[in-house]
Parts: sequence; structure tokens; C-alpha cells
Amino acid sequence: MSDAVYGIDLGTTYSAIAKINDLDQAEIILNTEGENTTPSVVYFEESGNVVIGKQAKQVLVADPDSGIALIKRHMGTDYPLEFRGQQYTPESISALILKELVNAANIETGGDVQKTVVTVPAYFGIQEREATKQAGEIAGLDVVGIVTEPVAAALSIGIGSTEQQTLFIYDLGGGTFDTTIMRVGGGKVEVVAVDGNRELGGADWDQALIDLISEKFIDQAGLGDDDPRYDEHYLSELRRDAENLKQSLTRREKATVRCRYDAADEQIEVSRGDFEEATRHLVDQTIEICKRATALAEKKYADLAVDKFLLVGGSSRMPMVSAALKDQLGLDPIPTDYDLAVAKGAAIYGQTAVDEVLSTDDSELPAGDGAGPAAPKYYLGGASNLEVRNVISKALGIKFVRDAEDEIGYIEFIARSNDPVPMTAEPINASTVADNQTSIALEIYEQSGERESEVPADNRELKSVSLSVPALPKDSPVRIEFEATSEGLVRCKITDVTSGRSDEIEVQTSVMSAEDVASAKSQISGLTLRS
Amino acid sequence: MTFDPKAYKKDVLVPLAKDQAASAAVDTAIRALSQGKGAAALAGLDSTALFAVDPADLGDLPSHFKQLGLALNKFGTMPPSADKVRRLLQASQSAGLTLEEPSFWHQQSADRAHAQAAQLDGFVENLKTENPLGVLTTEQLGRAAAAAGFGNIPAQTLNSAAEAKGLMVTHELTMPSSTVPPVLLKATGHAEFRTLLDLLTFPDLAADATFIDGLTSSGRPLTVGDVASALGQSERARDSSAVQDAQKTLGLLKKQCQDDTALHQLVLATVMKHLAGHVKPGGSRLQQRDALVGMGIGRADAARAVAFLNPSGAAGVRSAASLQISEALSAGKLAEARRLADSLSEDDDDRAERTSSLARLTAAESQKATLLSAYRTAWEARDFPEAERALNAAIRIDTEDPSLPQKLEEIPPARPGALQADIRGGVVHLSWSAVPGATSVVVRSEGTAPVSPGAGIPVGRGQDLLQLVDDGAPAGRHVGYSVFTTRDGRTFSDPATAQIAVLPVPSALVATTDSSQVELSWQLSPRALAAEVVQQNSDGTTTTHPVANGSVLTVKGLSLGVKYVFDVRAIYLTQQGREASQPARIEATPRGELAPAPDFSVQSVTMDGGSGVKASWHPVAGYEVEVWAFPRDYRALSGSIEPLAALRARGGVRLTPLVGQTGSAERAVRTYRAEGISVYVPVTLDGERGRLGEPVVSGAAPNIRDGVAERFGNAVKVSWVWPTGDYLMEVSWKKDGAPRSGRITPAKYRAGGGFMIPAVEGVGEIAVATIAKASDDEWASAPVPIPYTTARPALEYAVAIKKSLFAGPTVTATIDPRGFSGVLDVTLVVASGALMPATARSGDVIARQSLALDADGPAVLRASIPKLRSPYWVRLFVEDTAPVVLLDPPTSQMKG
Repeated sequence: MSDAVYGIDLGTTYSAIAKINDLDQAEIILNTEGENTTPSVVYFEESGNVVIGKQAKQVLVADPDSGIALIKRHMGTDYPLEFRGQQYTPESISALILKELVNAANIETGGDVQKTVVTVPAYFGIQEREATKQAGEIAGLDVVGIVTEPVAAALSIGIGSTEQQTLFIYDLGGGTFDTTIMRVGGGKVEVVAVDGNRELGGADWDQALIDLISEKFIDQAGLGDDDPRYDEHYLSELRRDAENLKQSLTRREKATVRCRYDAADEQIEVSRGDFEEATRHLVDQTIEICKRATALAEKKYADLAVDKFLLVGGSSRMPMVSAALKDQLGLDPIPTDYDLAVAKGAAIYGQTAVDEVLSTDDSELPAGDGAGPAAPKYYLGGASNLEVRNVISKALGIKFVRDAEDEIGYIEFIARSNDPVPMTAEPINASTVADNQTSIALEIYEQSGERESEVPADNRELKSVSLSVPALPKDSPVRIEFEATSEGLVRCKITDVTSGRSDEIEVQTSVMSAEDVASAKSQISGLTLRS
Repeated sequence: MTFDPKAYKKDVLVPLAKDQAASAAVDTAIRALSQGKGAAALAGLDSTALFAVDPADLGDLPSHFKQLGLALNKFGTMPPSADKVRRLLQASQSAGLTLEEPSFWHQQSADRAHAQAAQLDGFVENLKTENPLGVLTTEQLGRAAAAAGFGNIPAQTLNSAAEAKGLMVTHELTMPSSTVPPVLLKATGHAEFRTLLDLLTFPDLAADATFIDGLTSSGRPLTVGDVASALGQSERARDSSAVQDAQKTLGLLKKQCQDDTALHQLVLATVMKHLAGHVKPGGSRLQQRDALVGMGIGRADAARAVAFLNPSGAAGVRSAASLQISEALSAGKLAEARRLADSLSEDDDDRAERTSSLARLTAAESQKATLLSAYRTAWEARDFPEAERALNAAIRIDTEDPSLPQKLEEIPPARPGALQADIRGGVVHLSWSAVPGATSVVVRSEGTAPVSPGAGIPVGRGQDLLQLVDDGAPAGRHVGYSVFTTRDGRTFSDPATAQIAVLPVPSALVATTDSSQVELSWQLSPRALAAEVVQQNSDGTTTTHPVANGSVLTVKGLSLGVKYVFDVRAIYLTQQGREASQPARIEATPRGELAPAPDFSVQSVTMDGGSGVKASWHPVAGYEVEVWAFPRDYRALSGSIEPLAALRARGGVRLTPLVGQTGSAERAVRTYRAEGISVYVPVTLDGERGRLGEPVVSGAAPNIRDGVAERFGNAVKVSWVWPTGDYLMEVSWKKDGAPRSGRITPAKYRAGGGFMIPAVEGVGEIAVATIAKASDDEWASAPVPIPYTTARPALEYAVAIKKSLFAGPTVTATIDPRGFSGVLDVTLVVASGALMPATARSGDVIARQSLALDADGPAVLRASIPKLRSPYWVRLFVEDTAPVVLLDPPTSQMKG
């Protein structure tokens, strides 16, 4: 094995880090508190001092203004935040979490590993993936790859068997929900369909529980119109207690929580039945998404049959999830390591990348290292190489106008959602819309809803470039060629057919520019981390 | 423009989250922006408030919006309105609105004002439709405006807008508490008088009358003068039962109403009571108003009266429900009002009444919620008086909410004040002030004061407890006391605290002396570590004697008779180290045996303002000697030791020496004020007992006062004021240089009117000395010289003039001899005119007579005088060589 690499599950609520150990096994590295997972919570203690993890989560109850949780939900968006007089982007804050995980892992292992693979939800778009990569760069890490969480989970379960299986991954994490249907076997992973919701996760169950408890508290304490949820301290305390309560209700039928607000101090009892009733709509939404993903997969492979239904992510531990999957889909889900599978899988993915036995496109892998054929990898279930074929999670398109008066335009999708990547789209033949047109604007959009829509307002603009051309008459031909890499990089070539002039654009789809990343990196490096 | 995220969340976002109408308005604006409506989309919003823009300070808008964006990001979705405002901000920016330009906000203010004016106009139009009477109270208008989202518009603007549309906006009509005598209503039972107002304008009928805000008829004020005038008119009117009742009514008004205000209040109460019979709830209000106008009441007051008496209007049973809602609200029955409101049917054709009632109900509920919020905020801040005020106000709105009185009960009384802690007699005395009726709970702990009632050792508890003695405080420790007050025993006020170091002072300090040493003994608290004695010497120096063990100290080598002061302190080891208590002090003078004062002498002395004695004796080393005075018959046992109380019991009095004493170390000399003769005894003091010395009788008899010596015929009479007491007087004089003397008792003096020296010529150096006798002894005061004049004694005479009808008057002159005896030649003179005759030759001599005067009685002279025209005078004269002079009586006797 060559260089070591960490696999990091950068979760919305909890994160974990793993590497391949000397026994060729993917192994979770404990944090400084001796725990497998680290809460993805950052607290800015004072200027230059940052606390991450369990301590941050505890102190956030008393001082909610100086820290943040669930930052993953804002990755890839323009969402600056200010703490202790300093501005941070979601990427910078995620970078602090990554940095802390790696530092703790290096202390634990005695190593100095800086190569990492970071996971993203399958349903993350291009900007979110790029943002995750930039978070790694800001943290000063060498991000050797970005892998989706369901793929990583599949890798941790084992894909070495020559027998091909169809896996359905139901990944309900703290902040996101992914479903991925993939075919695995013999060192290959082919993602057939992905679907999900980037704002549906355990945090939503927590919120529903908070609302349920609060309504009971308002009623029991006779608070009338006074809603304690507007009080930060009440909310912080309850958020902390709600998570524990939720976990209790996975094992117990009833649990109580203490609620305090002003002079009111009550013990509120919540039953599992109450909780399930209050969150049924959330489970139903995941079921709906599962059905959607299945339909998509069946379009590709009509005779698709799921061999294993795997539950990944801490939130899928809830009994209501298994019960709903069984009742509504007739499925018998198999639990995995829940919180740890993704990190382990990321370590596997990362190691294969570092060992140069990973293929994510159609390029050939070396048969060996010159000294002989590539050795089987225990962590690959005996396979020597790993091939991962992914799909694009969200459709990509270009905005066109029907004529010169068309102010709204429409989106022509070049790459559809669940199309395999890497991909090269069929060239698009377009034309100018007015006489003496001297520029051709190219606006690249990404699907923003759960289904494709040609209405520009329903999509998210990724990039807008303008190609200058000599004055062209109306209806002059223009050719657009488009390709997307397995990492989500989009390249576009636009050609004025008449003159032969063309321009190639590599679409950088991140919110932060290179200068922003460098500045953020400098800012983060000046902070002291404590966990 | 400074942006405060916390204040913004509290003042803008949280209220927005709770206000569904306002949230819906934001949603409408977001939709409008996405549909390309531009800046007009924001016209319906208070965007300056939503974006925390201060129109008066539009500096650095880019920075402001950046901070706003950061704050909204941080708030996330809590409250949900934060996300809404963020979306609004994003939609505004996406729509190209130049939020960071001051010009945008200037235009926005204008657009907003314009939009608001249009909305307000529509609102008032609707209000007018819903209020056909055209009358609204300011409160009704305010409630309707708040419910319609115009709560932030000033009342003045609302009123103006309403009045511009023809609505009359008045204050809430409150009925005076005057009791209406039945007689005031009797007259209006007659056809001649429609309302009481017709009586005030008698014999005319009231026209266009007002009675709510003031009494007028035909635009002219009605005053108490009109009552009198109407009464007068009624008396002149043709008699009838109506007129009789009118007179009774007007008479009562005249008597009961001393001023126009009282008249107005009574008339208002009476007229409204009368009109209540005419304006039935449920009837057509417009019809009722017209009916009142027909009774001579002005249109505006008629409308207001109908609105008050029939708020529900002509909606039958359903309107009765609205009325019941109003009544329930007025009675503070909020829950019942809500129940009634919920039962109102939506197809009620009297929407105006229902809307009004619901608006009132909503406002009441909102106000209760606001007050409860204020209560909670105050509670959190531990501002219990404010919390109590807010709760009481909430209770007035909802008297039937059981949780409110319970909360009120839980409010702790105010923190006790003025907690004082001090140590007396080895125990801690606490005192404080507290709210009457509250229970005080006192707890103690070592070190700092307990922060809660359960955090310390209970010391005392009781209702109206204001002081306490804590004999359990650990000696030698710093302790803290906290006094909490409570009403219900569960919620406590903030404490009043005090800290004190419990360092009991040594007790039972006793000093025993001999000639050169002092033995001190004391008692210490068991927790005292040691003692320290500081000796103060007479020269100002001090000597410190640490006493590590035991509680006795013998200080030797002291000077006999010199007073020493000893301060004894107990030493403790507290939390703060070694600390000393306050001292117990004792004075001690080394001295020898308690001996009587030797060589005691007393002499009487004369001093300013009286007499006294000067005593002297040889000092007794180490002891103080006092001089006591006893009655003359006291037999002192020299050398005996007696309790001072016993000396007092025997009539002894401790004398206080005059200041500025003389004397020396060898001989003490003291001067005392003293009257009379006493037995003086020196007493050598030893606490409350003393050793008696040799008694000395001394003193001085008191002197006479006001001594006078005057010639009295052939004698010189000496007279004086006797001193109090049993004394003789000895009068001494010289007769032709030879000393003479005589004594006189008080009885003989009284009988003779003085002491007579049986000579006149050659008499001088008259003096009087007081003689005091005690058994066989007598003491004489210093003789008091009496000045002697040879002036003739003056005798008084009286004149009586008796008139006669036929003859001339008879004059009787009576002379009082006053001890003078001898023959006196007198002349009776009469003179006419205004002036009294100055000499015997100034008038007519009526009679000359020689009268024999003696001590047996007055001498009388009678004479008839001729008839004289008034005024005339009658006067007696004696010769210049006569032995006496006559003193004239009052001129009224002498004048005829």
C-alpha cells in the first residue's frame, strides 16, 4: 500500500473518519474523546479559539449565537455567517470540522496523513460537491476524491464477490436523505439511480419532536399565546434533549423531557406513538422518494430486482423507518454500521484512489505495478481494483430563448438526471436570434427541483459566459458541445460555425473563487482548534 | 445606523412570526416581486421596519444590509420569519431593487404613505358601512384599525380619516356613578316633558339638546342658573300635577347640584336611565336614534346614546349574542366571551356587530397575552412589582382564569430591606423591614450569605417577623444572613443579606485591686482562641498583655490611686485568620483599704444667688470621696460601711460640687450649694457602698428678703419677707451708737406687722439675721443690713360722698392708722372745678379735726358740704409737720 488516506464522512449532524489499517481493513479512528463520531458542531470560543464536537454542542446550548450546527445544509450556497466579528462561509466552517477530524486522527494514529476523501450525499449537485472539495482545500488537506455516501456505504459492506447484486441504499442522515440503487460485484460499482432530498434528515425529526414537545408544554403550562420556541435558550436546551429523547424512543415506548421557560417548569411525556404520529409525513416522504428512485432504475433496467435493502445513516435506526419500508414497500431492510459505514467506505475509496486502482471513467486500470498483477485487496472484498460508475444527480442544461423578444427563455437539458458520468452530450445546434449579434451568451443551469423543469426560475444558474463573435446575421448557426466528468466538472465548447471561432469553458461551479478559498484558508489556519 | 441583531430578532422577527396577517403580507410581497412588480411590491409593507432601516439615518446602507444578511443567515429558520425576511431580501435584490441606495428609501416612504393612505381610505369606508349610526368610540376605532393591520397609525390620523368620511369619533362613554333619585324620573312620565332636559328649559322644550359631553339646548349651555330659572318659571306656571312634579324635580336638582359639573353628571345619569327604556337592545338603531331626536336630543348625542344602549343593533337573537360578548368582556369573562364568539354564525346578517364584538374580543385576548408576556419578562428580570402590575391588569381582563390569581400568589413580595446584624451579649441581633403580611425566612451560612432559602441553616421564619436573635451563630466565624420573603412558601423574593463576624466579646469582666496590682478575670466563648488585654496608663501609653491560656490576668507594679483602663478582647481564628473581638472595658484603680475621709471640715459660705458650704478633707488613695448631706437630726455612725441606698433611705443626698474646684493632692476642697443646716458626712465610695467619715453639722440659715425699715410714728418699723422654714429673726440696730438687738418670732411678727424699734431719732445700722435652732444649738445667718429712711409713714384714707335730695351731701373720710398711734390734725377741703385742690388753700375748708389714731381701728371724720355743681372735689390734708402723710384714695371717691 502506498500513501495512507483518510476517508471522512462529513455529516450534517455527525462526522466520522476512517482509514485502512495494517490488516487491510477499513477502521474508524476514535476522536479525542474516544468516540466513533464527532458532532458536526462548531463553537467560536473567542477570537482565534474554536471548539468542535461534543464540547461545542454542549456549550451551544448556553450561547447559541456563537456557534453553528447543520452547516452542511448551506454548502454551496451564498450563506455567509458572522461569529466573534469574523465572517465565515459554510465551506470555511466545514473546513474546521475536517481539520479537527484529521488532526485528531493523526494524534490517535501517530501519523501525519493529509490525503483525504470526503463524502457527499448522492443528491448533492455540482456546486455542493465543489464546495465540499473546497472545504478540504481550506482545511489544508489534499482532497484526492469526492465520493457519494451510498457508494461509500456499499463499499464498506463489500463488493468483492463476483456475483452481481443490486443494492438499494436508504441513507437517512442527520440532514439529508439519499436513495441510491446500484449494481455491485467483482470490484465494480455501477450507480443505476439516485434520488433524495438535501433537506430531509434526522434534524427534521428532531424539529418535529421539538414542535410536539413544545405544543404539549404550552398546553400543560398554560402558556397561551406565548411560544417558548422564540426563546433561544429554551430552544437550545430542547434541541439537545430532543436528540436524546429521539434515541430513547427507539428503545422505549415512553420518555420524558424537562421543559423550562420563564416561570414554567414541566415534565413532558412523549410516547413513541406520539412521535411517530408527528413524523409520519417525513417517513412517507422518504418512501415516496424510494418509489421514485425505483421507477427511474426500472426505466434503465426493466428487470431490475433489488437483492439487498440497506439502511445507512444514524436516523434510519428509528423503528418507524423499518416498519414503514416493510409495510409500504414490502422490503426487509438490512441494518449496517449506520453511522460508520460511510466513513469506512470513503477510506476504501480513498485508498483505491491513492493506490491507483480506482477507475471512475472508462480508462483502463494498470494490470499491476510492474512487479506482477495487482494484488487482491481485503478491503475490496478480494478484488484488485475498484470501478465506480456514477450518475449525474441533477440535470444540467443551457438556457435558450425562442426569439429576440423572449425575455424568460427556457432550459434545454443536455445531461438528464441519473445519466451516467462521465458523459459527452450530443452537440446542440443553435442559432443567433438577431441581426448583427456580436455575442453569444451561454448560461448553464442545474436542476433545482426534485424533477426537471424547463422554466429557468425552477433551476439554478451555475455559470454565465459570453462569447464575442463578429457581427452575425440572424439565424447564423452555433454549435454547443458539452461534457461532464465523473467528478462533476463541466466543460463546454461553443463554436461559431460560420467563422469557425470557438471557445472552451471549464465551468467552475463553486460559489467561492480561488482567491476566496485562499483567503479562507489563511483565516482558518490562524484559528486554534479544540475538541 | 447601527444594527443590533438581538434587538432586531426580538422587536421585528418574533412579532412578525406571531402576526399571521403581517406574515401573509410579506408572502404577498415576495410573490409580487417574483412576478416582476418591482418596488411597488413593497408598498404594502413596512419595509423600513422589516429591514431595520432608519429613514432618518440612511448612512452606509451597504454595510447595514450586509449585517442584516449575516444575521438572517445565523437565525436560520428560528424564528420562521427570519427565513421569510431573508427570502424577501433576496427577492428584492433579484428584482433589482436598489435597497442600498438612500433614494430608494425616500421613494419607498412616499410610496408607502400613499399606499397606506389608500388602504386607510378603504378601511374607513368599510367601517362607515358597518356603522350606520356613524358613531365610533376611539377605542372601537383603534381596535378595528389594529385588526385591519393599521395598528401603527397614530390615533390622531385614524380619527381624522374617520371624521373625513363623516364618522363621529368620540371617547368611550362612561356612565357616572351618580344614583338617580326616582323623583327625577317622575316628571318625565308626563306628556309635557319628554326628557329631563325639557325641565331645564321650562317653559320651552329642549331642542337639539346635548347631555353626554355637556348640557346644552339650541346651542346654549344649561347651567345651575337654568335650574333656578326653570324652578321660578314653574312656580309661575299654571298649577298641574306635571308642574308639581317638575317643581319637585327642579327643587331636588337645585339642592343637590351645587355646580354645573354636578348638574351635568346627574342629568347624564338620569337621561341615560330614562332612555334605556326607549332604546331596547336588538331594535333598529337608526330608528331609535330618530326617536331620540324627536325627543329633542341632538343627532350626535342620540346616536351615541343608541350606540351605547344598543350596541348590537337590529339582528335579533344573534345580535344579542354580540351584546352578550360585550357584556362578558366588560365583566372580565374572557373565556365566556370567546365561547360566545365561537358560537356566532357566519351568516349573521349583522356583520357590523359581530365584527365589532370579535374585534373587541381579539383585542382583549391580545392585551391579556401582552400583559402575560410583560409579566413573564418582568418575572425573568425579577421585577416583581411590575410582574404583579401586569398580572393584576390581566386579571381585570380575565377574571375567571384560575391560573392568573395563582401566578399572582406566586409572586414573591418585595425584597426585605435594611437588614442589620450586630452582636450584643454574644448573640447576633438581626432586624429588617419587610412587606406587611409577608412571611420572612431567615437563613444563615458560614462565609457568604445563602443565595436561596434552602441553601443555609434556618434561623427563623414567621409572618410579619422583623427581628430575630440568633444565638446559634458559630462564634469565631464569619457568617452571612439572608432574609427572604414569601407569600406562598414556594416562591421567594431576592434576599436582603448581611454578613457579620461573630466574635463575642469577653463577658463577666471583673477587676479586683489592691494597692499595687489589679487582677482581671473574664469569661470567653468556647471558640475563642485566646485573649488580649490592653492596659491604658494615665500617661497615655498602653501595655499589651497577651493571654494565651485561661481567663485571668494579674497586672502588677501599678501605682496606688492611679486609674487604669483595661480593654479585654477575645481572639478568634476565623475564615480570614486571627481576628479580635470588640473589647470589654473596665477601669481599675489600685488602692488600699477603704477608709473614712480624714480631717473633714465644713464651713458655710455665701455665694451669688444663695448660700453654700465649703468642705475639705484629706483624700483617700484610690477611692473617691463624696460629701452627703443629711437632715439635722441624722446620727451618722462614723467609720461604718453602708450601702448608698441605705444612706438615701435615711434622707441623705449626694452633693454635687461646683465646677472649678480648688484643692491639692493633699487636701480636697469642694464647694456646694446648700441651704439651711445639714449634717455633712464624707463617704468613701466603693461601688455602691461607702465608708462614712466624721459628720459635721454646718450650713447657714437662710436670709430674709426685701427688708424695709421705716418710721412709724414714734417707732421704726422693720419688716421683711421671711425665708421658708422654722426660724427666728434677730434684729440688731444702733441707738445713738450703742448696739441694740431683739428677736421676734413669726407669730409676733405677723401680729405686729413687723419688728418695732421703739425709737426714731438716732437709730441706724439696722440689720436682720436668721436664727436656726437645732436642739440646744443655734446657727445664725449673716445679718442682712436694712436701709433706714426717716420718711414719714403714709396712711391711707377713704372718702364716701353721700348725696341728699334736700340738703347738701355728707362726706365721710375714714383713715386707716396702719399701726400708727397718735393724734393727727386733719383738714377736709372741698373745691369745685375740673382740677383737684393741690393744697388746703386751693379750696374751701369744710372741717378741721384732731383725730386720735390707734391700732384698734380706723379713724372717721364726717362733715356736710354745701350743694355744689358737679364736678367738685373732696380731699383731706395734714400739716407738713404732721407725723404721717396721707395717701389719697382713687379720684372716683374724691370727685362729686
